[in-house]
Amino acid sequence: MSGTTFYHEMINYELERLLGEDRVVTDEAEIEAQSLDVWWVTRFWKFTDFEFPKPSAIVFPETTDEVAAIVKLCNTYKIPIIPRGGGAGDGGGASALTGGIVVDTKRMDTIISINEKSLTVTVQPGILQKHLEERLNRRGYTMNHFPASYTTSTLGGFISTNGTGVLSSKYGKLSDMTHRLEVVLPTGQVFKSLPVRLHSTGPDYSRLFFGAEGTLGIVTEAVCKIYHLPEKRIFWGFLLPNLKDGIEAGRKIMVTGLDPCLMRLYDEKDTRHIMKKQFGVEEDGCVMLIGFDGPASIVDAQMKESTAILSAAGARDLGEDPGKNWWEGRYKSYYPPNDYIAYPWMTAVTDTVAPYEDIEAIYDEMKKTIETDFAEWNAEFHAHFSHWYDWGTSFYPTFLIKEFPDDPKAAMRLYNKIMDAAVKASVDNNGVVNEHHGIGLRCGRMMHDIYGDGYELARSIKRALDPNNIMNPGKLGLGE
Amino acid sequence: MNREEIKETIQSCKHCFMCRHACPTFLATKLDSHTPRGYALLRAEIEAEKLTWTESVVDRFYQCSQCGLCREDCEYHWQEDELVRQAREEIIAADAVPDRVKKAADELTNRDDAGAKKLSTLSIAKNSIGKKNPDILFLSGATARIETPEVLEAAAKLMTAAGSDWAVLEREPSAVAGLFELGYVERAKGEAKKLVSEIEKLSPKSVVVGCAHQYRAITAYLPRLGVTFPKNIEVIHFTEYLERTIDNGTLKLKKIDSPSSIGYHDPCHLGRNARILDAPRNIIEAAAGKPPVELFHSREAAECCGAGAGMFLTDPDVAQLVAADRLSGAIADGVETLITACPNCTASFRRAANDRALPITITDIGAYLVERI
Repeated sequence: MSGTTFYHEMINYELERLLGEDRVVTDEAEIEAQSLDVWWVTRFWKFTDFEFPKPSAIVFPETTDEVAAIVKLCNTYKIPIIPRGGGAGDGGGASALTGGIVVDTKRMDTIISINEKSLTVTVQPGILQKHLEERLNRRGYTMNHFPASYTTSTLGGFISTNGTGVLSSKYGKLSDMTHRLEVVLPTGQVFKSLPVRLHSTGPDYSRLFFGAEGTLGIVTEAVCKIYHLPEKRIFWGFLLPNLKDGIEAGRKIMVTGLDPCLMRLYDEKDTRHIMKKQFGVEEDGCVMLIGFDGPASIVDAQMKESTAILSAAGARDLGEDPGKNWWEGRYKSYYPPNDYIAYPWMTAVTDTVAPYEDIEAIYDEMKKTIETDFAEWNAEFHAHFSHWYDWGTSFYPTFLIKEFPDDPKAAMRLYNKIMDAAVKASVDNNGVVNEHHGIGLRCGRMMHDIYGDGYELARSIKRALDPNNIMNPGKLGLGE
Repeated sequence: MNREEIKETIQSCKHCFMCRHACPTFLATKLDSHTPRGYALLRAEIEAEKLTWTESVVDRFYQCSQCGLCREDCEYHWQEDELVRQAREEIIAADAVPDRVKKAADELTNRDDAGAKKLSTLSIAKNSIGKKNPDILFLSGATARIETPEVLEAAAKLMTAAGSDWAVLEREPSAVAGLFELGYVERAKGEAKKLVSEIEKLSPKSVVVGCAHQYRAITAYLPRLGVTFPKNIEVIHFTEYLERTIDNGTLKLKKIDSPSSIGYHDPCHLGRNARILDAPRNIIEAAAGKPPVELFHSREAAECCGAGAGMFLTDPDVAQLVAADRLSGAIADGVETLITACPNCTASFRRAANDRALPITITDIGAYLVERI
C-alpha cells in the first residue's frame, strides 16, 4: 500500500475500531510468517535479495458483516485487499503484490448447520478442510474432498481456486460440491446466490467466484454437499503395458458409465519409482490405481466391470495393496523429506485438462519440450493422470531442476521459460491449464494467451464489480 | 538437538504446511507465526540474518506450550517442539528474554516455597510429610499444592484407602519441566539435582507422580540434563498406581452413577509423551461403570490445555484461549464433566471455564475417585 506511515496508522486505527485491537495484526513475526506460499518463486525469493511487498496489516474478521465493513473501508480509501485462507496456494495468489490489507478468514470457521435431509452443510469459509471433514465424520457424513492440502487449507481457499481432491472423478470440483455461496463484493455489498443451484432463473452467478481467487469478492459462507460415509470403499492396483493403453482403458471405464471415485494412472517414470518402492522390482509399464465406493453390491459390480476392461487392455492385477497403501498414506508424500518443497529445487506442476483425443499429444509434447529444450539444466519430467471424466481427463505434469543458475534473475527467467513452454504445449494442442493449486501470479500473466480475446469478458466483469481494483489486484492477470 | 539437526529441521519444516491443523496455539489464535512452519521460517530468517530476535518474534516463541502435537502429527515426526525449545536457549543467549518470561521462570521456582507453606494447611496426614523410607513417595507438583489442593488431598485419601505406606516432600522442587521448556537449561539442571537429592533423602521404594509435568521431568528431562535418577526407585504415574490398586483389589470403589456425561482429557505429557493412555480410561470405567466419552481429538492426538511450558505464567491470555478451545470442543462432544489427570490441566481448564462461564465441570481423576471409596 502506498502512502505514509501516518496513513497506514490511520487506516489501522479504523480497522481496530471495526474489529478490536487483537484482530488487527501488524507485527513483523506474522507478516514474515505469511510472506510465502508453496509456490517455488515465493520460497526462492524469500532467501534471495528479492522481496515481495508486505501488507500493512493482517485482519481477522469473524462475521460477514465485519468482512463487509472492512471491504467498504478499503474501497473508500482504495486500499488493496488480499483475501487469505490457508495461504498454501501454488501461485502467489495470497501475496500482497501491491501492499494493502490481508483479510485472513481463518477465524470464520464455524459449522453453522448440517441438513440431514437434503445432505448439506452450511459453513464459514475459514474452516480447515480436515476439521470440517472430521466434524462431518463424527456425524456419519463426509464431503469427499481430499486434496493434497487437506490438512492445511481452508474451504474458502478451495472454492476460490475451484479446488479438486483425489476422489474428484466421482465427486467433482468445489464448483460441483457447492450449492450456494455468500460473497462480499468489492464495494461491500453482500451477494447470496439462490438457495438452489440447478435453476433456470437467470445464470447461476455464484459460478463467477469459483476459481476467482478473491479478485471479485470474499466468500463468507457456503452451503456444500455432503454424503453418508460409504458402506464400502476399495482401491486396487493394475499394471498397464504403456501410457497409451492406460489412457484408453481409463476412457473406456468412464464412457461405459462406471463411476470410479479414484483413477490414478502414472506415467512410465512415476511407475518405475512406484514398482521399485512398493514391490522392489524394476518393471516397465504404467500403474493404475482404481477405487470405488458406495453400497457394497454396487462397488463389487463396478470393480468387476472395470477389471474386465483393464484385463482386456493387457493390465496385470497387482492386488489390493498398492491402492490401499496409497489411500492410507496419501498425504505422506507431502511431508519432508519426501516432498520437493523440502529442497531448494526449482519445480512446478503444470496441470492440464483436455478431451481424450488430445490428451496424449499434450503429454508427449510437454514431456518432449521440457526434457529436450531444457536438457542443459537436466530438467526432469513426470506425470500422473488423476481426474477422469466421460469426455476427457487431466494430468499433473511436474518438472524438476535440481541445479539452476545462481543469479536470481537468470533463475527466474529459466523458471518462466519452462512455464511458458509447458503452457504452450497444452494450449497449442487444445488443452486447458487446470491450475486448481492457484493461478495467482504464476499463471496469471498467461491468462490472455490462454483465453485470447475472450479474456476481455473477465476484465469487464472485474471492472464492473471492482471499479477501484482493490480486490486482490494483479492476480489472474487482472492488472486493471 | 545438535546444530546439524537444528538446520535439518528448519530446512524441512520452514516450507511445510502439513501439521498446522494440529497446533493448539494456532487453532486458538489463527496466526501463521504460531504454526510449526512459522517457527521454522522465522528461525531460518534469523539464521540467514534477515531477521533478529525482535519483540514480536520472541513473543511467538514463548507462545508454544511444548505439547508436541506437531511432532506427533508429522508423518516423519520432525521435532518442531524441540526446535522452539532450543530457540529459547538462543533467545536467552542473545539476552532477548522478555521480562514477563524472566518473572515466570522465577515464579516457577518460588512456587515450591509457596507449595511448602500451603502443604501444612491441607487435609493430609501430617506424619506423611517428609517421612523416611516410605513405600511410596507421592510427588504432586506445585500446582496441586497451590491451586488445586483437592488433587493432593484426594491422592492422600486414595493411597490411605488402598493401604499404601506413603509420604510427601515438605518442599518439592517442581520447576524442572517448566524451566527446561523455557530454555533455562542450567537452572533446570540445578532444580533437577535438588529434586533427586530430596527424593534420595527419604529413600522411598517407589515414586508415584501425580503431575504429568513432574513425570515428564523425571522420565525424560533428567537424562537430557545429565542428572541421574536412582535406579532402584521405580517411577510410575498416579493413574498407573490407581489402576494397579483397583486391579489387585486393594483399592475398592463403590460404583456411583455419574449424573453427567463424562469425558477424559489426556494431558500432553502423560498421553502423547508418555503413552499412558489406557490407565486413566480404565480407572474411570471402573468407577463410572462406563468408559468416558472420547473427545474429538484424544489419546496421543489430544490438544493441549494451554498450561505447558509455563505458558499460564508467561502468556496467560494465550493459554486461556488454548484451554477455552479445548473445552469448547469437549462441550461440542456433549461432555458435561471433564476429568483429567494433571493438576496443571485442571487449573488451566478451570481458569478458562470460570472466566468464560463455560458450561462444563473440571474434575481431577483422583478427586473423582475419592467420592467412590
